[in-house]
Amino acid sequence: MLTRNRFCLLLVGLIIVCWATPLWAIDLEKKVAKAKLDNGLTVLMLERNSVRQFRSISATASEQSMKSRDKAVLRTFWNI
Amino acid sequence: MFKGTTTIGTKNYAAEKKVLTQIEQIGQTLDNERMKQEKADQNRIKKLASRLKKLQNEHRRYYIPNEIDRLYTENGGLEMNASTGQDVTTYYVNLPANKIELWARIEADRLINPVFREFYTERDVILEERRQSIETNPDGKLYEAFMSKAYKVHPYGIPIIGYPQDLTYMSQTAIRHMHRKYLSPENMIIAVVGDINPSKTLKLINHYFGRIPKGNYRPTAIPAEPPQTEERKVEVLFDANPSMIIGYHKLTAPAVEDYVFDVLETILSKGRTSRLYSKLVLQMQIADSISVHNGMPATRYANLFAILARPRHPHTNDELQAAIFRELEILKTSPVTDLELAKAKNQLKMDYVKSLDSNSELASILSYYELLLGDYRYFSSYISHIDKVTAMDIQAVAVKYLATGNRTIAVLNKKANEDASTGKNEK
Repeated sequence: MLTRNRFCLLLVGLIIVCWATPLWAIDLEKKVAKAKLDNGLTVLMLERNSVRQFRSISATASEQSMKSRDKAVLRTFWNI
Repeated sequence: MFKGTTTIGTKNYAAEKKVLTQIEQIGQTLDNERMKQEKADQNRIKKLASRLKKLQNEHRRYYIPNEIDRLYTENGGLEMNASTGQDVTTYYVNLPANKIELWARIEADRLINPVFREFYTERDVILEERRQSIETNPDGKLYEAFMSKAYKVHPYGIPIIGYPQDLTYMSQTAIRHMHRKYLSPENMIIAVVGDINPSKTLKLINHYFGRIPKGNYRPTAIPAEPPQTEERKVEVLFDANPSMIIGYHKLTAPAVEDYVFDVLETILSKGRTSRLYSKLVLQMQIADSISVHNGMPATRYANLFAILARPRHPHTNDELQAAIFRELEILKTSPVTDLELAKAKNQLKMDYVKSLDSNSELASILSYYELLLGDYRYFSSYISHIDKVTAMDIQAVAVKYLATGNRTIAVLNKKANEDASTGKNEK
């Protein structure tokens, strides 16, 4: 029973995450502000609430590592 | 770039500048003499090197090391760093939202008034980094050989860190030229994510970064890699356990095939139940590790779908290679199951959601796609494209791209004891 309950909880969790995905996508697109300065510099800004900001500040260095797919490719497998 | 500006990292820039000018002059003369190689005057080299050392010691009287780092840290900054890949160079830092002006002042100053302090020391550091990560590293050596074999024309075949001959005599003039050309506002994206007010932030950015003069940046014409028509192979001999990289040329994002390859990468190697891992590592036990990467080495130009693998002792690269090819052939003849497809899509969606959690990750992703694909919205439409991928699409790309003639194989084999030489043999 316990195992079954755990499974149900996990399933509910997954459903919430999957359901939330398109909302995130729409939200992200609407909230990003894009501007171009006179000298040609492009600026992208995204306002997010302070709780997430705090979570980001406390994020580990590993979260930073995917700066681009270029490096991630090598780091993942061989740590070059 | 991490050595400060005319106001940051110095005790007295006017006095420091005189020493820096002398360092550059002596350093350049020393390089010119060394470039003569066997004809070089060793006495002159000795004198110039000693003079350079004295000037470098004198420079330390004016230089304040790591001052930018200290400024950020004292103001709650975290993880200030930079990374360079084949496509982009990124500078990033996490700061409390009320310190955004400090960031704007520092970074704009770095772009407008950079001072390349400790140039010759840094050049030696990079050369040493190359020795450690490539010349004495089996994985680095194999990767370099693989990329230079896979790309004959396109600069993706050139290592990010460069070759020793590029680094040994690199001049400050070249660095200044690179800085002016590539770190110009037209070629740059700033992404700020967090607890900000966008209109105020834009005003602030405009105030500090708007001062940077236009650089008249014109993108360099990059030659396209001609289609590969026959299989290429390269062997690297090294005193290390065998390993291999197999790569296939393909289109890059936002081509539809790229999304299909993302799903295929997940089906083949993500997690213990993935095709290649479950078959070759767990069931047949002929591989120690296996990993698949879509988009090697980068995203801006047509790239590779690559498989990196290590055979498990006593199995050989040849045995493992044959098993991998058998699995790839199956993809061409029978479609992946609905379960595999659904699982891969769910994994990709999960990764997507996870990446939204971190502000720094989001800033990085937004700027990356805006710069490379001209539209940050590539990222927000990613999941809908993944959802459209079918089993037939996977079969079609397998047939079209995973062909023998489109394949490059690099293998690292253990050097035989009697062979004292190092290096690689090309087949």
